[in-house]
Amino acid sequence: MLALAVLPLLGWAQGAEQKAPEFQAKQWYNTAPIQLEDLEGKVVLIQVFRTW
Amino acid sequence: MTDEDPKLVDAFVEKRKPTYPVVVLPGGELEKMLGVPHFPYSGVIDTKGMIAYAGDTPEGMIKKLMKDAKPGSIWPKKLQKAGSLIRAGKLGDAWSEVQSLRAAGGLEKREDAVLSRFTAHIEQNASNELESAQKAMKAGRVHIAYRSFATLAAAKPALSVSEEAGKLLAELKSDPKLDAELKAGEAYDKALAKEEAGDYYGAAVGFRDCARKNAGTRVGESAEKRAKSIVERGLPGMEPACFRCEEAKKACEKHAKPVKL
Repeated sequence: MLALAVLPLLGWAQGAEQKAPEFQAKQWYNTAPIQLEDLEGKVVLIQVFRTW
Repeated sequence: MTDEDPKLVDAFVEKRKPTYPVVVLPGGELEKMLGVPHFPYSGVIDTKGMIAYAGDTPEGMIKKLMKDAKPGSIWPKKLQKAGSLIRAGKLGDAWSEVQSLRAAGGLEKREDAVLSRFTAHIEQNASNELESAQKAMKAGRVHIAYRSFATLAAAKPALSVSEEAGKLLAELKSDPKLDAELKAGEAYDKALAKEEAGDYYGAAVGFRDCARKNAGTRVGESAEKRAKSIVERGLPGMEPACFRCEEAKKACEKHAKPVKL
């Protein structure tokens, strides 16, 4: 499990930048739905979380 | 960002009241790209839409990238007011704003596309709110249902749910106990605010007293059930900073404060 989790991180260490995927959202809160093109020219901080 | 069930996220947002945008993204595509090993975990998207960072300490990357970032809103200038109203949860006002923009016309292609997105979002949220209000009504939280029905019915121009909300509001207004229900609702809301703030003792006492003072109302009945539920779960006295309380997910022996129902 740990190995699987670490593998994608190795990509980062090697500087493999990827285009962020379009947000196929089920629900947005505190905003109207955002698309990637709305964020052009902006720096976006994403925090991935769980509710527990 | 999370991929959890929206029902869990609804409860999370209701309780924590975050001021930043929250999104439910099923499928985990972005999570896979970030290689999320634990939660919470951070990612940074740069000004060109590339994932520039994944990890636990994004501050340095943000500082570096911000030098090239454009200031201001993400929405086209004409739509910024509507975007702010949506963010503030003022959907009725946002609805009036998008409709007046639509009526004024003269929108560019992107503005038109964003406006359509805003419109669909408001309609969807209005529909969700009507559904929640109907559930609140069934559960005896008449005052909460009343507020939602009134807001949705008053939207100008009308939302697609306004007519239905108006009918439900009229039914409620014909209830001779409505004033008593709304009065009970004031006490209910105060207890609910305590519960949301984590003051379970204050909430249990508040719901109990609401039930006693408003016997014979549906709100009072609902308050009684809520007080009972808080007490049965052993929550009164629970201290968020206490390790034992946190582990037990209820008040520990040291902090438990009995509430007589």
